Amino acid sequence: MQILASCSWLPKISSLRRYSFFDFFEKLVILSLTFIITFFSPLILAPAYAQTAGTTFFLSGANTTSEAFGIIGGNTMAVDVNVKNVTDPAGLAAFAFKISYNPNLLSIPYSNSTHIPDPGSVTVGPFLGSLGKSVNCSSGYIGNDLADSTKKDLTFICTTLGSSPTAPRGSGVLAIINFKTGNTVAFPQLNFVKAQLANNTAKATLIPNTIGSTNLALVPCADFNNDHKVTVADILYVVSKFGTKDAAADLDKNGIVTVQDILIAVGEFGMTC
Amino acid sequence: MLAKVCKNNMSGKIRILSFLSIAIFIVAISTFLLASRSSVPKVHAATDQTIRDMNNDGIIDLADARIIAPPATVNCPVCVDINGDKKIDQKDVDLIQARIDHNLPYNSRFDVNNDKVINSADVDIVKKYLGQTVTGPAFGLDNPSELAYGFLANDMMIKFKPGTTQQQKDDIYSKYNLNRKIDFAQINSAELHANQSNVENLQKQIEGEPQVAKAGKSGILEPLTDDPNWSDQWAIPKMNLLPAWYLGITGKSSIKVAIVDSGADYTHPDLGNLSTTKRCDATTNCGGILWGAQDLSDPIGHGTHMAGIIGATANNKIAIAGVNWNVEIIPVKACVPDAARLAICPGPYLLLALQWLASQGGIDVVNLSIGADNYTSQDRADIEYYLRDLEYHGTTIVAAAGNDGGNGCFWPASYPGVTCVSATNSNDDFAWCSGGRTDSAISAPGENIMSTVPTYSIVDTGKDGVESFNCGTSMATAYISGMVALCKTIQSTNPPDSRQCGHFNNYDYTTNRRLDAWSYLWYRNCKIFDNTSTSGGPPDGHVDLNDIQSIAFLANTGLYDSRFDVWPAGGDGVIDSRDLYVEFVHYDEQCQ
Repeated sequence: MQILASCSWLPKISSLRRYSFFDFFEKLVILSLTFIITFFSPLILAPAYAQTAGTTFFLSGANTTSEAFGIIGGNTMAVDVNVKNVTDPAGLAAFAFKISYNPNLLSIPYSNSTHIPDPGSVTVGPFLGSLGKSVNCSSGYIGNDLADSTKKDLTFICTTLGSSPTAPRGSGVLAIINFKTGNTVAFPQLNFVKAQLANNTAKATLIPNTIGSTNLALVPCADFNNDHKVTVADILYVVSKFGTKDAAADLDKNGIVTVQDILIAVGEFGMTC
Repeated sequence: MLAKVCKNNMSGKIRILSFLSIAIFIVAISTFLLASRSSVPKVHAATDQTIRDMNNDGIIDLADARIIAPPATVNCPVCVDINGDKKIDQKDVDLIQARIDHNLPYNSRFDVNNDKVINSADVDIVKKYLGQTVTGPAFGLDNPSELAYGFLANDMMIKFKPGTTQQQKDDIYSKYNLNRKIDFAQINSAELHANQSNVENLQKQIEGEPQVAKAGKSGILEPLTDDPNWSDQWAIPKMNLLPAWYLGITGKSSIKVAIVDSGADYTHPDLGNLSTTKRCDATTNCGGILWGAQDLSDPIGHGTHMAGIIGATANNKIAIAGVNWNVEIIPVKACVPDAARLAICPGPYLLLALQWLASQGGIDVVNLSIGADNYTSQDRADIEYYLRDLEYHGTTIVAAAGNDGGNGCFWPASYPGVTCVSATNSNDDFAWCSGGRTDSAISAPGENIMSTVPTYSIVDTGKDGVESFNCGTSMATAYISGMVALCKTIQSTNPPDSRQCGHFNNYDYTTNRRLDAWSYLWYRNCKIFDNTSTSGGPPDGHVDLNDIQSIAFLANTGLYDSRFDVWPAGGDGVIDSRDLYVEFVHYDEQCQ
């Protein structure tokens, strides 16, 4: 109720303003609809990985939500590389991964001569060095995906020097990839080509793990009132255009405003554009 | 009174006893020190001895040093420094192992324990020294590493200053009790017999004579192959290819190198690596003619010269040794004699040649020791189409920069994706004729290059099947083609772009971008970087995170395991972050 009341902030000419005149029941219906759609949607935006109790290597957006949304138009899209449930007694000493991506949809700026990503494009996360071990990482490498010539691979490796101090166990962020979005609306999957973890022993034995892939949403910013932030008012605007051909609210650019557009707007909630 | 006398006697006895005690103590301490001296500096006692020809074989070398100081029981780093580079590293181990693996003939340099057999026992001794360095003086030599290849006992060379008379020379011989063996009048030098086997001190004294420019030992080279013209092949050791050969990287017959040139002499006895199944005479439309009917004869000799550089058979007592001892050379004839210009390679023939090669598939390297400046003919675009096609299918195309002495690359060397090669001389300066001085991707020797030619060709002046060509980026190109072919025998099946055999980086070359084969091949040898399995066991043919973290685990700890000493080429006895960064690049490689 309070959220919807904030619609009174809207300019008088705003089409969103009419939602403030909805009665309590209508507002409740809209909110319920939004949550139902969000939690029971066929569009899986959350990371998918095997449901085991073992160690898991997975990707997710770096935002507060676990969905990976990117605003098209050359914006930065941060994707976390996470590890969950490291239980090896020796702890985690190193990780390496290779991720395949479509450079027409997402890119990582890099040097053509060295294939090394530009500084800041790929950085190590806090987990590996969380107990004070000295962390050494590769510069990263952008290569051609040998299995799919339309794609590129990012390879990134981090190690820890020496046997002490002890290596971390548990869960945390291993690395952060700052992709640049392209101009095309798309819903690609971001996949690991390879993901390895090594324990903190002289043999550096690999830790068995399962890996997940993440569905991304590369979409326009759902900011309709130009406050540079996706708020409830923006979500409600999309809801109000449900079933119409409103070009602005048609975030997935399929020609009609559908549940998916509402979901996208909900997914972008809180993002600044 | 009596008491006083007794007291005096007593004090005298005490004094005597005290003296005796002190004397005994001093003797005991001295004895102890002398006794302990013989055990502690045992190391120095051995290597401090002046070396001489212990085994009376006329040579002073590591075999003599190992008699004085057996490295299994006495600390003697120089005794196990197989290649004489003053550091004991994996390279020394590998050199011995290669002789074992390839069952090479006995050579005392590799027989660390002097038991006349080269086996794992020798390897084991060297491994105990890994990480140590060789310092001088030792064995009476300022530079004990001279022992690696050794020098003649009782023998020395003196170079006199200009204007020295024969009488002055004779006076010096007499003064130092030297007997003249050979006079090298043209270079004002002489080889002399000395009455002492180790001439280190003698040479210093003689160098003090005002008429002497330089005095020194008579060093020893090892014949690397028994090919009679080996001594003319300065380019091979210059490019530092010998260590790679020692490690058994000598080529594979499964690697196919096509030479688009003036043909090749199938009758040449040193060119047994010419393909017996693939060849093309583009001047008469390649595949349209039966194998036996194709005329690959090479009256110009140029193509045969390139073939010898790339893959003349080694150790057959004939002509020269090629970069590859084994390889399949596919000759493609596209150049013909010309009255005015010796030879010409018409564009249509080149087009036909590349079209045929593209149709064959599986060609590893195409050597194009041909070119033209500003080639603008109609067929250029078609030729470039086939160059792209070949490159797309994994063929490395190597072409000559041109012989105009300029900075740019001729076409087709200038075409993107083609490796442009410039030429250097024995001083690593650009050869006088070399183009590509600023634009080439890589350089190789191209001046005074000895290789095979047909005895019937116009270039074989001695009619002996070999000839030294004066200057040309053609020969440099053939050397690089040969190196790329060698590289393809050891690289991973999925190398990153920066480690492709046709991609050259700044650690692959030295002055004027002259290729260093040892370094180039080291960083592309997948097996160097695969040292463990994912469970920590023996190498599994794949470079994984465990290979990398094993290095990180040791880095900067002072602990050493030669397997993980991957930087620089050959290792440096230390494992640190530089080894780690080199290993990073090879992640996920699959070894052959």
